[in-house]
Order: sequence, then C-alpha cells, then structure tokens
Amino acid sequence: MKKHFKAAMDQIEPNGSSLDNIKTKVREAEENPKKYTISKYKRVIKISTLIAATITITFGLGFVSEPIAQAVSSLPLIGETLNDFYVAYEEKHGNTDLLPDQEQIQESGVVVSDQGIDCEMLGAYNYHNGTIGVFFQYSGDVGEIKDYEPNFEFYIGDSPHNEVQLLPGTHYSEEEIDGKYVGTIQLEFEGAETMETLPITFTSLGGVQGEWHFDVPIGEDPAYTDLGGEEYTKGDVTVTFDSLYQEGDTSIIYCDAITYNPNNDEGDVAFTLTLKDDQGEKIDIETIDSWYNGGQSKPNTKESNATRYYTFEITLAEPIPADCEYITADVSVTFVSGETVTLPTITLDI
Amino acid sequence: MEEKYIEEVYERYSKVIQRICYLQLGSVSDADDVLQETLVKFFTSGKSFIDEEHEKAWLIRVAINKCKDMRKSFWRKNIQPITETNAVFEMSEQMEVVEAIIGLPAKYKNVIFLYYYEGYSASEIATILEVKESTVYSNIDRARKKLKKSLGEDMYEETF
Repeated sequence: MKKHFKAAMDQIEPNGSSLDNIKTKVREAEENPKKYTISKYKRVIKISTLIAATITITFGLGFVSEPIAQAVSSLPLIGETLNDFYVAYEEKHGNTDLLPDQEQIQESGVVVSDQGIDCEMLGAYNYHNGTIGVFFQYSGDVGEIKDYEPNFEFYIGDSPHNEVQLLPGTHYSEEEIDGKYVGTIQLEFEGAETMETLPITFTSLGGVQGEWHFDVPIGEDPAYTDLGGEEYTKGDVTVTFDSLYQEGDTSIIYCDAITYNPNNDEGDVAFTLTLKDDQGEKIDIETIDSWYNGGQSKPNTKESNATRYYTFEITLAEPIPADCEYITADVSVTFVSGETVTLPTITLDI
Repeated sequence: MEEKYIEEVYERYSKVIQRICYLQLGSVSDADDVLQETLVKFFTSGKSFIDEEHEKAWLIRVAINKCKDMRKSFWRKNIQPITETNAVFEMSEQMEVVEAIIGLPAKYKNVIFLYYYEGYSASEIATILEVKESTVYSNIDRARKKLKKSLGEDMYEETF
C-alpha cells in the first residue's frame, strides 16, 4: 500500500484549463514581447541609463528636470553595483521577483572593517512596511568562497543571545561582482513593521570569522499611507482601516474587521462598503479580496468560534486624486439572520 | 513556439510544480496560478539548460520563489481565503497528513517534498534550494520531529 504522503500527492493535479491558459499567455508573449520581457532588472538598467544620460545633460545644459533629478539622487553610489547584482541574480534564480525596485532602496554607505575584510552596507529597503531587506558588499582577505550558498552568517538583534527569530519568508543571496561579494538579505520577523533601525551583525564573511556590526536606518515604504489603525465599533462589529497603498495606477486599501456572531453555524456575513473622496464623489471599487481567520489557532470555545477575523484588500478602480486630503467610508454588515449593523461614517486622513 | 513543445513540457513538469506549490500555498487555485506563471516564465525567458535535471531544478526554484512572493504579502499571512478551493483526498488520513505538512514552515515543506516525493538526495536538494547540505539534513530532521508530534507515532509511520 502506498504511504499516505505519496498517495495524497499523487491526487493533486493541475487544473484542466492550465495548459490552455499557458498556451494563450505564451502566444501573447510572442505577439507582444515587451509585455513579458521587461523584468525588474531591466527596469533597473533603464534607471541606470537615465543616470548616465542625466550626468551628460547636467554638464551640457546646466539643468536637470525634477523626475530625473530624483533618479540621480536616489542611488548615485550603488546603482551600477545593484544593476550587476540583479543581472547575476536573475541568471541564477530565473527571476528577480523577490528583489525590490531600486526606488525602494535607501542608500547607506557605512563601512566596517575587521579581520582584513571591509564590509559596506550598501542600502536597505522596507517592503510593505513589514519586510526589511539590506544589500551589502565585502572584499579583502576572504577565505574559501563556495558556490550555491551564502558565504556569510549574521544575527539580528543586540547580541547573539537576544537574536531575533526570523520567519520562513527570510531569504538571502550572494553574487561576485568585480571581485567584491555582494549580498542581499530579506528579513521577516515579528516587530519588523515598527522597526526604524535594523541592528545586524555579521559573524562570518567569506569564510572568515569576525564581527561587522551595522545599525541600518529603515525608512517607511513610500507607497504606503498609514490610515491610523483606529478601531471603529458598533454592536458586534469592529472595523479597522490600516493602510493605503498607492503606486502608479494601483491603489489598494487594507482593512480588517471582527464580527461576533454566536450563531456562526449559519454561515458568513455580508459586508457593504462605500468610499467617497473629500469632495463627496464616490470612489469606485474594482475588487475586494477577503479572507478570514476562523480562529483555528485559538481555543475551541463557543466564544472563540463565534468571533471571526476578516481581512480585506480593496483595490480601487482609479487612483485617489493627489490633492484629496481625506476619504470617507460607510460600512455595513449583514448577518445571515438578517440583522444589519451600520457603522457611522468613518473619515480617513490620507 | 510549437504547441506540441508546450504540451510536452507541461506534461513533464506541471504535476511536480503544482504539487510543491500546493504544499507551499495550501490552495489549489493559488498553486495553479503559480504553475502557469512559472511555465510562462520558462517559455518566454529564452534560457538554455544543460540537461533535463538542470531544467527541472530551475523550474522548481522559480516556482518556490514565486510561492514566496505570493506568500510574502503581509496581508496573506496566517489567513485563509473565504472562497478556498482545497484538494480533496480519497482518505481522511491523507488529508490529515497533507494538512500537517502544509502547517510546517516553508523550508521544511520544500525538503520534505523533494526528499520523500521527488526522491532527491540531500546534496541535490542543497543545490536546488541554494542552501548548505547540512541545512537540508537538519531541516528534514526538524520536519520529521514536528510531524511525529502533530500526527502521532502511528500515523507518522504510515506517512513516508
């Protein structure tokens, strides 16, 4: 008899329509190659080209337009190094999906030396206000460098004894760029979302034991606006608007809700949401993705079973106008019993 | 690109990708999305491979990275979609085993799948996942201990 794991895995099959969807997407890619070949590293190269072009313009014409000036000032020191790193990373991993856009990186430039090895903290980023990443490079009297594994060790926190426990989303990579070793570490851990400075200590670089400590400033993800996180409660319903994500044409509002329904066997509740801008104009919603945590990890009591925790990802049809100072939200919740709870209008500064 | 070639590659790799993604994401539909993204990436990247094993390892790594990307959204952690589409298994024990494995940290799920289902050696898994071989062994060991605890000794014996 097959063991349970193998028997179970054998039963998982791709959806019948997957092959057709893949064929369609490949066909689209052949007909419109740009759509599918502009990867992140190519966007980075584009920025680098802009930087080079801008320097020429600056010298030649004596001025530089505002958006280009921002690109120049964003990563003047590490742009080239990162371009090379992204190219090498994509070659090895097949994509750069886990790396941030250069615009998200805050340059650092602090160098610490120990054991004949110079380690430079190149920059840091804060993705979705909860995932922190750093880029660094080291060179000098390195020992044996091995392929297919990071040649560095580190801990996060004030000391190895108070080390922060990293979550599974953490990952790292390393590439050799022009005789230097460039590494990236993307970290997920409890409390990352409120961290302003990341204390990171390397205990080994290039096979050499030592101590290279950095306190890296972590900025907020510029694409996020904090919506306050205040709890709005009426009856058995509590709603919290957490943040607004705006980048390019994409605008997403994140919010949570908690409902208490002792008759939860009757099924889910229905949420209704209306958003308006500061001129009273309705803001169209494109999609609302929702999830609930039914409290599986909580004690199995009548009380906990009756409490449901929902999370909503509300994608707007159009970006909120830049001059809009606040939006309003009207929320109502209808239980299966027919009872409806309507919260007072909520005003959110943006 | 010839449809026949797409079908051949799909036939060769779609199941392994779908299965490892299902363990990562706990959702058939999410796994299916990643499967499609991974193979579209394969067909459009123009990358060449030394042999089929190199090709397969690349696909597995890309799929795992794409799962990480899907999971890394702060908002998708520890919550389940309301309209979830879970796999249905012939026996309740199989469901129990799969749920226990889905509940493991990602790094444990990967090694369990590659080691016990795909039959890769620890050294091969280390190359695919770009970690130390010793890390693979320790992750397998920790995963076993966790599964023994969650499933119980008897069920664990019937699992692998």
